[in-house]
Amino acid sequence: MKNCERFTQLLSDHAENSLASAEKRELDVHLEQCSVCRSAVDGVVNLRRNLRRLPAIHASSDFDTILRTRIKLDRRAHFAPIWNMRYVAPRRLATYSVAAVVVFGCVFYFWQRPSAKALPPASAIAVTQMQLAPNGVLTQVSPAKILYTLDQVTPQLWPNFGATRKGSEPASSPADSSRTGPAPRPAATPVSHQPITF
Amino acid sequence: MAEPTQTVDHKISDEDLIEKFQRGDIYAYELIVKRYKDQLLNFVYRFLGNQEEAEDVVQETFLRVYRNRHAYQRVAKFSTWIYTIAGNLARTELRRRNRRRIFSLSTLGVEDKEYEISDELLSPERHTNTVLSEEIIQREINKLSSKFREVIILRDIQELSYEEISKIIRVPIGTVKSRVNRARLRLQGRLKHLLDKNK
Repeated sequence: MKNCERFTQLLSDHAENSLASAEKRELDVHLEQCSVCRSAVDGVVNLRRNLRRLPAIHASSDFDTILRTRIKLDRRAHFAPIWNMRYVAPRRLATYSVAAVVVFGCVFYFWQRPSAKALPPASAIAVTQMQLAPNGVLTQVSPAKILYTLDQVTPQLWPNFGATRKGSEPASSPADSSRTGPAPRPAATPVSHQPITF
Repeated sequence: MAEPTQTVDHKISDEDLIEKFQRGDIYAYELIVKRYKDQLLNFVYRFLGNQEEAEDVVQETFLRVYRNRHAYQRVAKFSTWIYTIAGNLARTELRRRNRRRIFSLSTLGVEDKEYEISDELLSPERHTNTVLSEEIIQREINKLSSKFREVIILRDIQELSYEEISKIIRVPIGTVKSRVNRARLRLQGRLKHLLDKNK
């Protein structure tokens, strides 16, 4: 039986006469002894003959006409403008419609939404006002500078700010704000600069 | 662009024909259709078991050839290329049909067969037997899984070489041989009674 399994893999090649001579000799010896494999080989040869004998079918008489029409329609669909709905496939039309709705929806949403620049965050306003007070010059404070500016300006405008920090000196009076020029940096104190979060 | 010249040479190779078609010769395309429509129809019909669907698939194949003519490169045989397209479309059709679950073996009834038998004239009795045998063989082919069905049709009905089949279905030659062998053994086991009678 073990031999049969091995030879089963060679049956097709045997039926097609494409076995190497050594293998063919070996298989012939086996076939003389094994009726099951002999029957299988006969079956395969017979099957091939029957499959080759199957009647050929021919294309219907209007095959070429239908093909020509399909090609013509396909070419028209390829070159037709999008507004020519006659040649746009329904599925493609649905896709275009959905895409158009999404695009118009997005445009409408962004158009109606209040501008982000119109109202700066409250913390930014506070910092800007505090910096304006000492010198009266309107300068644009970038977010990167906000923390530094706050640290620099706060002691003059927010007297109690320093008191909240452990070991810091009392802040200078608001009257100092009448000076022109940039506000002086408070005296160097061993203040631990904790990150200020708004 | 060069003026397309009418192709009249019937001995011209497929590769030359498609090249002419790529240059705009529409007659070359018509010759390709003429050469391959019946071959492809037989392949797809044996694969799907329905002539109407098979014709539709073959038409779609020629439409793809027309549309993608510039995608063909001469490194491959034209027949391999067109059989690959037809095989892919036939497999897609089979999957679609299985999804719809409308396929049943009863659709393979004798009354649905409208094809002509190209053999010599047969006696009515012999003709009936042949049609029945053919119907039974087709039914058994349809019961094979698609990977076995495809290789046995290409090898034993279309009589393509193993190498060509391997290129068409994109699997190694060894796998093709193994599939053909298993498909033949399976089929001959199921058709034993009929084959013994037709010996």
